[in-house]
Amino acid sequence: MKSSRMELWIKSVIIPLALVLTLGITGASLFVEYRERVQEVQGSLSAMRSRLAGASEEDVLSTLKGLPVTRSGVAGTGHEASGLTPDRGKIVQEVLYSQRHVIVVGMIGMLFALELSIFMAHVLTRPVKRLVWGCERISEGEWVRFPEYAAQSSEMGALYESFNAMVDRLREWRKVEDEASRMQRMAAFGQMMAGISHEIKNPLASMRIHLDLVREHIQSEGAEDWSIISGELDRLNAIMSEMLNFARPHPPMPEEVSFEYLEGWCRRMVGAQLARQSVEWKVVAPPGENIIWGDLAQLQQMILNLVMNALQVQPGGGFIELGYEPVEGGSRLHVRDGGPGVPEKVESTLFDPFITTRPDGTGLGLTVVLKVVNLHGGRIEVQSDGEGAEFSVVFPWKGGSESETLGG
Amino acid sequence: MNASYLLYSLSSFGLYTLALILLAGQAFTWRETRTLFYVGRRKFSLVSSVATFCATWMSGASLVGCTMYLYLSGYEAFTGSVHGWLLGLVCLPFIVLRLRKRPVLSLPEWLAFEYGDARLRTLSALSLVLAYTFYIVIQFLVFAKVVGYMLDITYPLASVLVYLFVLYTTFGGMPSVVRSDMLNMAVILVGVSVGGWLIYTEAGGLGAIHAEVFRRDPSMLAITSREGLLFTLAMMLGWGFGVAANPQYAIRIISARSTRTAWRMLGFTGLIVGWIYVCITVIGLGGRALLTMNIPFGQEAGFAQLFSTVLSPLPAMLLLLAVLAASVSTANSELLLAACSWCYDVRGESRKPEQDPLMEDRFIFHNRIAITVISTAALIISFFNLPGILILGRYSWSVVAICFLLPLYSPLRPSGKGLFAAIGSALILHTLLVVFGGQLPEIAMLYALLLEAVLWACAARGENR
Repeated sequence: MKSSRMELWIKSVIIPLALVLTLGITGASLFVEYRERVQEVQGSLSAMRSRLAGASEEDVLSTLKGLPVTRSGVAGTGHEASGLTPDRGKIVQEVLYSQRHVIVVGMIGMLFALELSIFMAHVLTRPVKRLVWGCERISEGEWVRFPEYAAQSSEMGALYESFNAMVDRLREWRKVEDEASRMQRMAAFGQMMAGISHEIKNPLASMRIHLDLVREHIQSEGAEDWSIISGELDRLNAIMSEMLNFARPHPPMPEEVSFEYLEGWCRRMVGAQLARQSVEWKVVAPPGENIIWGDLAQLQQMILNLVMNALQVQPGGGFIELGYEPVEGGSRLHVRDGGPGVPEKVESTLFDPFITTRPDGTGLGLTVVLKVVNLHGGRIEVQSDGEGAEFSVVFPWKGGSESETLGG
Repeated sequence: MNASYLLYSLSSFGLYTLALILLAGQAFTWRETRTLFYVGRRKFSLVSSVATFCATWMSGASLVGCTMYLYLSGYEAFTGSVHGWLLGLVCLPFIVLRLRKRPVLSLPEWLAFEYGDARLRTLSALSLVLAYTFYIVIQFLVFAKVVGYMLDITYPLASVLVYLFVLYTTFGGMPSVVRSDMLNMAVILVGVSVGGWLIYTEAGGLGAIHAEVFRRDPSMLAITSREGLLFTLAMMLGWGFGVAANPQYAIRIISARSTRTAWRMLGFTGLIVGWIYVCITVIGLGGRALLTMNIPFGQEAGFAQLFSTVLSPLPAMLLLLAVLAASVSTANSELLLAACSWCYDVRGESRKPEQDPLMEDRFIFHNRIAITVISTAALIISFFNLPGILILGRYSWSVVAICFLLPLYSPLRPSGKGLFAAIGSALILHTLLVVFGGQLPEIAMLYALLLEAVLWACAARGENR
């Protein structure tokens, strides 16, 4: 936020105005009082001159006792009264005393006006400053909304509401834009991976065959090295299969899959790790059998990836909650964990390939999850805070498409 | 009232008003935070810190009260009040490190932080709100009585003036209070120095003052109270403990730029305050040497009447202006602390600054409303001019000491267990002793502190076992 010119302008107009008005009104009141008093004394003196012509100085002064006069002429001329003039200094003091309440009230008025001007400057400029601040934050890529209390006052309230609506629309657009951009990246990546995986898998297969052939000739001291090479080759092969699977997945062959079966299978797969890490396994589902419409193998892969992800973010224990609930036109699965949540900086690239926060991760787990969801016409949402993350997947029921129902 | 005195009064008062407006003129800056509003982002320089500390130290009530105490009773005033206040000042360096190691914005927050009990924060903050409201009433009374005498105007009119002064300087938070305190400090120093010097020369020096005072009443040169040494010492301790635990000074230690600045601030304050007390001593005793008069209409009017008789118009007005500046500087500091206690500590709006500027903006606005409400309440109470209001002020002072003294100065750092109950019991005992036992608040405070120490020590020992 740069300089606050508007506030300065309001104050630089109102404060001098308050000062000038106060000083002007008080000054005018004092001046009028002073002039009237001087005229009154001059009138009294003139009357005295005619009445006391030729009187002695003592007589004149005793007659004028109490009147603010001073001697300005030469005494002893026989015209003593004419040597007297109004004592302006004394008159000023008298006026100040008689008008002291006016002066104090003037001071109070001035202070009040000053405080009012500061308050007015505040009331008028603060909503505008808030708006400027909000626009600056948006331009820096930070989504801000004005709280309800800020949108209470009339015109500015309407402006804040419009601002909030604008921010909401912008966020939606940004989401769509991000999604489109991700799809493009994924498509390009898929093409590239398909080519590379195919080219690498052939030499890998050949290496596997030849490695098996040389096994018989390996002496006992080389057996350990052989098994390391064999293991690494298998791992490389698995990664390439995963990449190829991601790049050229087979179309899903949906069927009715029991959530309970899926959950039981998954728990068996990760049971040992759950116990090792002291992670509690929770299931939230309606009683009875709950059905998902999807490709069993792909669903297994998706759930396993999500659960593995949840396990990896809770090395010191926690919980994993697997949930099911029927929703309109489909079913919703969720995997929730008690980990630290998704870091803000990776939120927008969470499903991109090779994006991982773990040093040993491939960064493909969530990319595969998204691929499976997309192949099923479903939708995935992530909610995260400092107390964990929840991946929620909606699969449409037979023949439906979640993205179509969402208007995508 | 002499017309020339009135002319000087109006001119000096008008100039002070203009200077205050121009110097303390504040804007409600955007992105204000509570750290800025309460402690000026802890960035006050040595000069600002010393000025605000000294200006807050010298309240209108203490300036008038101490001078008139000297005028009426002589050196007994030292053991009865000044020594106690200085004892408090000597204690303050011992809490600098303790206060500054916590990133807190108020003393109640420090209390809760240090002893891990949120109830302590609420209890002490509520005590502060009540205590400071009555304190502000006293400052209003002193200001209005002196201005009423200076300008020969009615009390309510003078009260409204001080109300607006205090509001104006407090609305901008600590930065505005400190700016106005710099002016107030200068006015206080000039007023007492000029007044002291003129009375010193008029009376013929310190020897002549002593001789004249001794001639009129030899007991005035004795340092113990007529009530006895024990009573004098008890009063001294009472005042000293009140100063040592006063949040007004603690918050200035917190808001200094660095720990070194805080140490130096206390050192320079000692020198300046010492000089002011020397001047006050000369003014009080010298006034007595020059003129003996009855003080039938209360200390404030007596003070104004005495020095407008003894001194010529200009120095007399400077001295009276010093009283006004002292009242404003103390009242705005107390008002800010009372608002802070209510909004930040009692209502618990403890969201950290800079996280959400909109919330922060709203919070500061709430503080300004609290400032208006508390000062308006004080103004209305001051209109009634209730009998015993001054005793209520002294009661409030000792309540604050009961809340903070032992937690601040406890050398053993016991846990907070039992502290809430100890402070609560001490407050109840103190009230009973003052209301039903007829004890002076300062004396009752000593018993209450003793009870608090015993209860707290027992609770801490029980926990250790």
